[in-house]
Amino acid sequence: MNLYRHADYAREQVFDADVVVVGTGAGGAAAGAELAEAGLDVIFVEEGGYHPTGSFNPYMTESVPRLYRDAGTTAILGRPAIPYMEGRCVGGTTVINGGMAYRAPDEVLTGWERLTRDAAYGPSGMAPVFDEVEEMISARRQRPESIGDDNRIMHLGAEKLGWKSELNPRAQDRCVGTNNCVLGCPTGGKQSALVSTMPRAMRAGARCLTELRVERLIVEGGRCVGVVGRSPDPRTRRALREVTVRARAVVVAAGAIHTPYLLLGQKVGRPSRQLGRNFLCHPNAKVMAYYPFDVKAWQGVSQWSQVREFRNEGILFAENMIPPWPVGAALPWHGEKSMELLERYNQMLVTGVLVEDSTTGRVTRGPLGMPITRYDITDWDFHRFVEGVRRLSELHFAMGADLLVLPFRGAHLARSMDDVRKVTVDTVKKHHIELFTVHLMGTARLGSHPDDSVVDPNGQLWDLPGCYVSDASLFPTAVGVNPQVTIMALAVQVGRRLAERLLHQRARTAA
Amino acid sequence: MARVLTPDGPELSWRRARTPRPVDQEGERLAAEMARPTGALQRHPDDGWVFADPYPLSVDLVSAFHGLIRALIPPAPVVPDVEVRIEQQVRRMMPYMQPLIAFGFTVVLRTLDLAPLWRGRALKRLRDMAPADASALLEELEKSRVGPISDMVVAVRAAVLAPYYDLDELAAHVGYRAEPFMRDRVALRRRLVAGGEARPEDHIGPYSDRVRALVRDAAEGDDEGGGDVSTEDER
Ligand SMILES: Cc1cc2nc3c(=O)[nH]c(=O)nc-3n(C[C@H](O)[C@H](O)[C@H](O)COP(=O)(O)OP(=O)(O)OC[C@H]3O[C@@H](n4cnc5c(N)ncnc54)[C@H](O)[C@@H]3O)c2cc1C
Ligand code: SF4
Repeated sequence: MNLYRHADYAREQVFDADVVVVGTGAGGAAAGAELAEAGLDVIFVEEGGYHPTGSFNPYMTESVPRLYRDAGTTAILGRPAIPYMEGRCVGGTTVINGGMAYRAPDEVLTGWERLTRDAAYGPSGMAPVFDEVEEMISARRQRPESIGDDNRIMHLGAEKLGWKSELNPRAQDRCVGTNNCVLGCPTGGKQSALVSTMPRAMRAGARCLTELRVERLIVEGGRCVGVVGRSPDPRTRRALREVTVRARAVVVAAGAIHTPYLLLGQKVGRPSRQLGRNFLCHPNAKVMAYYPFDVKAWQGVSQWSQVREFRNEGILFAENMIPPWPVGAALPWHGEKSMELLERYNQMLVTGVLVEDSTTGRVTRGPLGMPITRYDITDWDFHRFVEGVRRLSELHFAMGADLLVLPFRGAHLARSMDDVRKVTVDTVKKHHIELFTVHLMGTARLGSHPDDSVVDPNGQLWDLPGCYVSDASLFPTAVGVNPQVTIMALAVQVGRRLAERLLHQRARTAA
Repeated sequence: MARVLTPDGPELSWRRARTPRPVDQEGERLAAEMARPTGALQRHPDDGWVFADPYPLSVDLVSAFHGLIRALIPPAPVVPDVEVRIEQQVRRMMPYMQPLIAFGFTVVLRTLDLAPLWRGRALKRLRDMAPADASALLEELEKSRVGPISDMVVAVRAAVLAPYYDLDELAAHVGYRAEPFMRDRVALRRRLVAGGEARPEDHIGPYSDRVRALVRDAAEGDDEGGGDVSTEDER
């Protein structure tokens, strides 16, 4: 048996493997596939359920509780609070992500090489791994039949203003522009971990224990030798079943919030006090634009291109159309006013201003199994958001928009650039900006010394042999681009080094 | 300074020399199933996953919630059983939330239901007000300078309006006809994967003269080296 669900744990509660990988997202699946293909016996433990491509649909009814952590009700505390989204299913957040496939820029990697004293994390070490990862997820630009009018407006709008707009490489193979990426790609076009790396691992004989949340690590003789998890009853979400997996090595890949949450409970990562710190999140602000003609932005891929003109300031613009239900939830009105704008759903574009982190936050353990994440944007971020929104508004009005909904409480509506210009850092308050984020990174940073990092260049915890990290938590610093490809490249390196080590040990024992 | 690594710690002895697990049929079957599009697009997909029972709410709290739903949803179009359908959907999501957040939501429902009293607006609960008056009161609360008051309205508004606009009737009303479109696209991808080519009618839009003109101008500009709107790089 390769795939287990809650009911199966009634029969079997103790498992044994070479490696147990906690989490099946971008990092976990990539590392697990490498380990399984190297000939090791791999067990994945995934808190979420198994939902194959054939189950994806455009409705929130079951999609949100099936695919999203806490049914999408997660938020980072701070002024302002920042709602965030994370996947909880086989394939992790890649199942609900937009598939943009960017490499970390060379200047970032040069810093990582310096911090880790390991050339494998520098530009020349990462380049061949990026090549492989891009091959795995088929990273490429879109085919013409997947492009919709919102893509055209954004790209041509940037050109009109003389701004650089780059066509995105995306993790996709013959994506046809159904624009359902955030609820799971129903065509199989998006090359999420569910479609790319997990099948590789399954073919190599890996097992996947789903609907099982790891709650603690087993440490014996100073070494991590397994995990203990609990599986909630699917109907009541209570009445837990305990399951143990023993292994020679544990790879924690639960994402940048749940990896430190789990490890903090174990009281590890102590020497540097960095575990849970250095939390990065690329905050994002939405500008919704209404045009006096039909756009039908829900047809055609989300984020065909990105406006990268202001990349030096750490500001990106992109369009990412969403179904009516999140639009209705996000618009700052209810009743008739909400309907007035939703009735123009076919004329609207949802676009965003993404700002590179200039600060860091922190993840700690809260009550009742709840991580607490804190992050406060800086004055510089606030300035860049106001400025970014102004420039993005300029693009929309230049392309003929007649109404914008801006992300500032108390100053939402703009019918012209004059209205937009009234919004300045002096007229709106920092905590009145409405932000959200989907990129969570950096809480168990890689480094070259136990004094300033959580894991060593092999991804192993400095103070817990046998325990490895392989997800977005590894980022030593912000990347400023969509992180999936970089997460996978790090995970591939961690997976390969671990496989080499374990196979070497096995050969020694056999000899 | 030399690079350091985690000391290996006590090594585990390999109790038995493991051989890689054999590539079994189950692994192959799963790998294929993970990536296979079916085009079924069901609202309640049948993949063996069990949907949680609704979060328990007292009759009184359900009635408070219905009052808030009436106040928040648009008066038109009229949709049958709308309050019950939204309430059921929200209660089905609540077991997946952090228990503290789900409980907090019930406290918010109660607090907003009593808003006319603590706001000194009327000697009745919000559920007993006319929907238009209740709606106006919520709008006023949303504008409150006291952050937590405003946040309560924002949270309940999102919780109510998301499932509202997800209803079939509402999606159709606003012109979002995802299912037929997606079914066509699933079929298109199947054709492409089988080696077929996209036909002109498979392209999306342009849907307006305005965008048509923009694309035409860009294509003309293209001759001079700009405005490419259909680039793909197949590796
Ligand atoms: C809407 C959205 C759009 C995005 N768009 C893009 C994009 O276009 N390009 C891009 O590069 N990135 C994008 N991202 C971000 C990207 O998908 C994530 O950064 C990436 O998937 C993170 O990888 P990870 O391995 O760190 O964690 P995840 O992919 O989140 O995987 C973690 C897994 O661990 C599981 N888990 C957590 N705790 C436990 C536990 N205790 N026990 C067992 N299992 C556990 C989770 O259920 C999850 O499956 C987007 C994200 C979202 C939400
Ligand atoms: S746009 Fe549609 S086909 Fe393309 S990746 Fe997203 S969901 Fe899949």
